[in-house]
Amino acid sequence: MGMATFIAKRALILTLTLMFSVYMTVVIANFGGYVDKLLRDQITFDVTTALSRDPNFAKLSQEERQKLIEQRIEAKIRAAGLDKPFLERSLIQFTQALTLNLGRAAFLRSSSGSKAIADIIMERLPRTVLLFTLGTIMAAGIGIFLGLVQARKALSKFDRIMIVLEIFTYVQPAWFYGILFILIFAFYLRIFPSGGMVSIPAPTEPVAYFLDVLYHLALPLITWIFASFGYWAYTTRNIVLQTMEEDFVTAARAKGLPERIILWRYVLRPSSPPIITGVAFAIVFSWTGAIITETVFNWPGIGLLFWEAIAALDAPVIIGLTVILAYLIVLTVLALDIIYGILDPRLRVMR
Amino acid sequence: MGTPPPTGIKQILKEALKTKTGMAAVIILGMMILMSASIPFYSPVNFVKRWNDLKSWYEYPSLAAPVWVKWFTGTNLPETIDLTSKHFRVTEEEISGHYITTYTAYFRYTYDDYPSELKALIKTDIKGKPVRLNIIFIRPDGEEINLFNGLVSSGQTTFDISLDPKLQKNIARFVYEKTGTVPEVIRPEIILFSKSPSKYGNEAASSNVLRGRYIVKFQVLSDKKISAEPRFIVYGKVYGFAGTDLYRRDLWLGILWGAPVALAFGTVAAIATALLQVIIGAAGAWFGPKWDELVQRIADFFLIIPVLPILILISVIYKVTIWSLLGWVIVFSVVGVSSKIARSITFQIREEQYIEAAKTYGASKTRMLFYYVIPRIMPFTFALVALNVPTYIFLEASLSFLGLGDPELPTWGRILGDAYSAGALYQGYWWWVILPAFMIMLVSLGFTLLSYAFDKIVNPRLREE
Repeated sequence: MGMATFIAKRALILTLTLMFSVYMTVVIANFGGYVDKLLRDQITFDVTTALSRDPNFAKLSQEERQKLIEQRIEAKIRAAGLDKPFLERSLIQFTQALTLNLGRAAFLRSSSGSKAIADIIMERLPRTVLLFTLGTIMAAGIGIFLGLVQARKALSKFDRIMIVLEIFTYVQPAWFYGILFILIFAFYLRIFPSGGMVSIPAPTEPVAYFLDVLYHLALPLITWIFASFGYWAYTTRNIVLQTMEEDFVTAARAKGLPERIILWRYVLRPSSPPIITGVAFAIVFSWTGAIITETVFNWPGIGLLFWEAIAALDAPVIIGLTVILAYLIVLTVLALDIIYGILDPRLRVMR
Repeated sequence: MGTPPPTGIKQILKEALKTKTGMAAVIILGMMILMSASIPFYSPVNFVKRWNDLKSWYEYPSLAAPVWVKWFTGTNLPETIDLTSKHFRVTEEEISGHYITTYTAYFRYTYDDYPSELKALIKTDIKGKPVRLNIIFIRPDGEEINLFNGLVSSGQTTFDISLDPKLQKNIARFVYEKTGTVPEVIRPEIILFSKSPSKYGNEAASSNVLRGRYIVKFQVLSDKKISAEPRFIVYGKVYGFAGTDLYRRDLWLGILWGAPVALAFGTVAAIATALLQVIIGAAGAWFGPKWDELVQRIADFFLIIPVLPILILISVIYKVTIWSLLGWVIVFSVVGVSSKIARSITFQIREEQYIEAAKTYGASKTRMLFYYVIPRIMPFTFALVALNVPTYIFLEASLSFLGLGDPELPTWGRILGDAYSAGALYQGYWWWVILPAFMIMLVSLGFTLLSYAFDKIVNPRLREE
């Protein structure tokens, strides 16, 4: 299979996957038509209350009133596009979502007051990227270092204790450490603030503002690193050990090369692609903003936005968020596919 | 690396038990199972209903710390003193056609801190006309405070001494008579138990607690003989092994109940998803490239969709119970890591001799898959299954924490969520957070160790030389 065919095939498959997951999100986010019903009830209520306040309305006969109400409701429902069946509406939303035409939020606003979903998301995204990308990179750095140390001392007491510790810390989700750390470091020791991104009122001077954000960033960052370094350490250890058993490493040892050179040149290079893939994925997935972690720390990023949108049943925002994330993930997968397709010709055949 | 790894299921379990980590895991998980088994002896039959019926917990103190806090702080924190009708001595007098029935009870108060709350209750059986009731509180120093003097009708009447403004007025009058000033904040549970009159109403040092014999009197005045059941509750600041929450619930019972729910949910979810994943992954590899391709594409799909947000959405719309949640979890995990393992092992097994042998005697493909291939794969998933149990327990806990889990069952995640939304983190109600958190961590430690023990047997890279 040629490179072009390989990429085309992967792109086609990923596009289909993307379409399927976006449509599923549209259906779920609209609660299978439940939100439509809510909107219709809201329109009926608005029209009736507006008319009942109108003095001219009271003069009309019962029949005329009923007719007027029905007319107005119908007009409003048509204006909102609610007269079409749910299937048709979901397909419209689906095409809009796929073309990244995100539209306007039903209830939520950005802090500048905009209802455009793109504005709301763009306001939140940098905060999530700051916390979780930084956290993921730091956790991966610490974890990879630990994993290398462990791989060199494989099966020693240190290695075995670290494995259990790493698996154990990784199994618990970040929000779980979050509540414990808030209790310990924010309530009892009062080292860190318990949540939020800036103090209230926020400092106006740029340097002070920056330091204030750092101060608020510290605890959620530590929590995220603590919750995920174990995964990187354990994975790195296993991948490196697997490479160490390869024949070319044995050959290098037989040649009498020093361990340092073997580790750096013969072991690390072939071990790095899967680790880097993992890190790339983790960074993209971290942009979902760990809904509960952001909620616990009241960190105003994408995760908290997700939770606010779900709590307010704001379907357009939920769809917008999922679509953007699905796009990011699909593009990452495709990019990695292409890179590895170029680097490792075996893959093109295997897939 | 010596002997080849054992492959039989029984053999692996036996080997796992021999290792230190395996033993530790069995001890921890055994404790959990014992705890779950002890529930019938501890808690009432319809506990789940009771847990959600907040009115039924009125006898318990609110936000009381665990009793063992006393041993660490060295202060003798008060426990709840509950004077029920059997503690009251009854005397009757008849004065010109009127009956005065007096119920008297006393209690010793020797603690280093004030009670958290006071409550008086009375249940009368009179029909029709209300009767006059007088509640008198006599302190060890002889001071008498008239808490209530008024009419009560039949049935149960509750006096929230700590909250009722009418009763607080009586207590304020007592302070005024003693000191000439009226306290700004009236906290009856402090005033009634303070030594020095100058400090009445202040959240004074515990050295100011008046220790000794307190007397509570209920006097009922009526024109015919009646019987009443008085009750006086001096709520403490510590309770039980795990304390109580804001809604007065005994957290120990909730934590106990969380154990079987978590274990059942976690193990069923982990085993069911592993089985499904193995069957699907192996079937793909077993039945040929077309099926394999299909399975791979489904796997791609599940890689991309964000499972937790979708599960949260579903729980918001459909109000899941623990069983429907289990169903959804399984739906979203039909393909996963175990199917990848199953796929690669199936490719190896396909070429082996015993499969050839089975083919020659005419075994069907499906039969071979279920009798010869899948049993061979399962041991390789043991470590993952053990590790997935806490993962699924935490998934349930995550949803419950957001208030989206099962609305009835007390789960650890729900207790944590209740604590979080009641501001326990910012008020320092640590027992409400630490104890359920400790339980989840203990379970996940147990399964982590178990997973490690399994892994060491199946995966030679972890075996000790």
